[in-house]
Amino acid sequence: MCMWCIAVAVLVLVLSALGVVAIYNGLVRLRNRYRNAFAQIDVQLKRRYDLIPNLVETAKGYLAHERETLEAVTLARNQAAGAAQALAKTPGDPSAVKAFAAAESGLAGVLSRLLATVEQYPELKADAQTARVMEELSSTENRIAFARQGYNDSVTEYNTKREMFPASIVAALFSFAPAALLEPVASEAERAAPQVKF
Amino acid sequence: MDFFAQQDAARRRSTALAAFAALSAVPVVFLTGCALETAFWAICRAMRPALSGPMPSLARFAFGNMGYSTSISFAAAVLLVGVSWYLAWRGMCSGESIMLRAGARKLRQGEAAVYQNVAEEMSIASGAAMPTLWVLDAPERINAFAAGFRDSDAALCVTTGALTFLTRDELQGVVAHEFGHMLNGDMALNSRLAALVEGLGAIAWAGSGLLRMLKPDLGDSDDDEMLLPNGARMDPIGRRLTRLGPFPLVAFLVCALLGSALWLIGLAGRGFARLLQHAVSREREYLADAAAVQFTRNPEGLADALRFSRLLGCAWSAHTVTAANVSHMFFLDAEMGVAGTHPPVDERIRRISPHGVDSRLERFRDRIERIHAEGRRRVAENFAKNEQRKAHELAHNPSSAVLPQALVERMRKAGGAGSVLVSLLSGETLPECPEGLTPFAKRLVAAKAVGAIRQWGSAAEVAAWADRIESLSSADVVSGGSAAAFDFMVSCAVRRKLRPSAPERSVDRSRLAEAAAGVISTIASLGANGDRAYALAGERLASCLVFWPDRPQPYLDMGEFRAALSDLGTMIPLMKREFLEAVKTVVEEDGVVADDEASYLAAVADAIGAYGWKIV
Repeated sequence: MCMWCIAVAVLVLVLSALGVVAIYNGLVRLRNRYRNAFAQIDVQLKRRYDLIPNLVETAKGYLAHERETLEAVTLARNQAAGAAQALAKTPGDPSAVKAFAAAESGLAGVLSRLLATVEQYPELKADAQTARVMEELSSTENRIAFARQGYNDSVTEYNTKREMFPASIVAALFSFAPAALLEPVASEAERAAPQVKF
Repeated sequence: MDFFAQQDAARRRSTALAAFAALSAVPVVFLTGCALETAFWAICRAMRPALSGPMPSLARFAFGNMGYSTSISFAAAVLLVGVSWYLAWRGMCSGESIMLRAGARKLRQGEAAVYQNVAEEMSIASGAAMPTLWVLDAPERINAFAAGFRDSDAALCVTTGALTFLTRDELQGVVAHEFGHMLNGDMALNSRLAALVEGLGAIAWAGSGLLRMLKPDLGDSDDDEMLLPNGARMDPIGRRLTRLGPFPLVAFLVCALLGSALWLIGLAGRGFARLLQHAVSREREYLADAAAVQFTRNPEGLADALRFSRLLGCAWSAHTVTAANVSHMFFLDAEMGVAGTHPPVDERIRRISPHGVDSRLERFRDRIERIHAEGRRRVAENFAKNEQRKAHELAHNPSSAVLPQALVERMRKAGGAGSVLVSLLSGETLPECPEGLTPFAKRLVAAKAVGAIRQWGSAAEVAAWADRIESLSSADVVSGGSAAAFDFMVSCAVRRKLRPSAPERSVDRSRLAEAAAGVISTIASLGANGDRAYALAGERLASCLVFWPDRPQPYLDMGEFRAALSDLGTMIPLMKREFLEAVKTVVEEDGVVADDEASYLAAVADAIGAYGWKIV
């Protein structure tokens, strides 16, 4: 009888230990996934800074009559890259973060204006070279949006798992901190927009 | 639409269904065990007079003091299902080989920029690793599929029709759907279920095999594989049993009953498991659709792609026989309903889009016109290609090789046949055929001449002609064009028919596989599409050559080629036949059998000593 009790107790212990290990590993996997997704945003922003000068160079020949738009793109790109560098030097500095957010949304604004401009010229849209440039541009914008969205999705998945029973016990035991969602870019842009005088 | 909730629900339902499918193995194993046990009991009972004591009833036999037989029966049943399950699972292959089998090709650098961008965007949005990108050349089809079990060999394929006719948003939806499959591990799940179905089917296969062995010998049956190399016929067990008297008759009956029982159990189990597999597959389609909406946050892209293909009608179905093998992985499948692997398109659209099935269909009219025009163009093109092939075949037709009577007369003597061969090898025109010979006729004359030397020549003459001819045929590289291939074919025929046969020897199985892979790779390199040809041959050979390598091997030079062929000559006749069929598949892969390919096929048949099968 007592032997049976011990056997059952040992079995329960072993099973719950295995369960804890599985949950712990699952949490670690989700945490790494959202961290990677966060790094992915920076990767995509960097890719955009690298890509824009080339694109503008290619587009110049085809968009000669849209010189100002192209110059605005280059300017906004340089501002955003500078703000990113400043932020990298003083991470967490609120003013640097704010400047970076403003520069980013400024760049996104001129880029979308460029795309809208090209939409207005049917013969330009039909041109293969322009189409290629525009495809790269819109893909770049998509990638950044998807990187943010992917980050938020993986954070949501992690948080949900972390707060649900029984993973919540394991999370509390091994102090898995909750992760923060990114604020939507649109609201930042809206906040920044009134300060820009056209 | 709440795509997270939809994904959870689909995941829950498909997990339950998959568990049911796995559980369906239990009754099948149980029934198989029962059938084996009963057969065992019946045979023991029939043998009982020879032993001592009365025979217990079936229940006493199974659970009484002889109960160990029960465990043996059930262990056998578990082993049968388990091993075939494992074998089927191991047979599932990497993403790359599935792509090659479906006839896809790798995307070239800089080709289809939108497709590459969209795939990278979806990789970012889903957090899945970037797969290798492939395209299937099908300009009038709209479809896509993913393959590969691990991140490292994930592969994604889209038809060229989808690249041409889908807008960026629609393509994004389709690609996102495939990423949904990859992220949820649907390819591995489906392969596991397919392996289960195959494993249960193996019981039916064992049962029908048992029945086939018992089939009485009906004189000249058309079973070629029963023929031994020396022309004798393998003796079927049934005949042996009936020759042995009354006791084996009981064994015969028991085996027949057991065979039919296993066959029925296996068929029922396989059918049931397949239905569940398809139900799981349909749920996973909904799951992938909901995941695609999560990744793109744009349900209308995917919904438009579905609406578009719905309007196209059955044009989306798998377009080649090889692609049909992998149809369960497609974005769309022609077969719907209980037997289908995909849910109805209407229901898929309704679940992701609030606008329903018939939203603004006039947008698609223009594109549908164009895609139908493309389809008509393809049909015309295929027709022209077929005509061309017919013309080619006519040129290689045996009827074009009616030999002049004078030539036939000249080859009635060893000396005459030898001189004909010498002129053929040195490229001279035969005086009997001043207008030259077609490639087919040339091969035919060569084969007849070698046979004539053996038939009409004395031993000394045969040896002398063999030496002379072998010194003339000087092929040293395999890809040396049709003349070199012809030389090689003649030398193989001479070696086989005019030389004393080499002593028996045995070759290691791993070396056999290596030799076979080398020969296949080398011959495949002669065709237009070597890698695909190699994959096709692998499909035939991997099951009988255990060490068959997945990837093409480096090409062999002439010496290695000969050595490999002589190693392959030690295979058993059935494997030789299988190997020759594989070589034939390789040669025919690109639809055209070139002269050198035909020569090599004949040469391989001679070099490995294949008997009596009509190949060319």
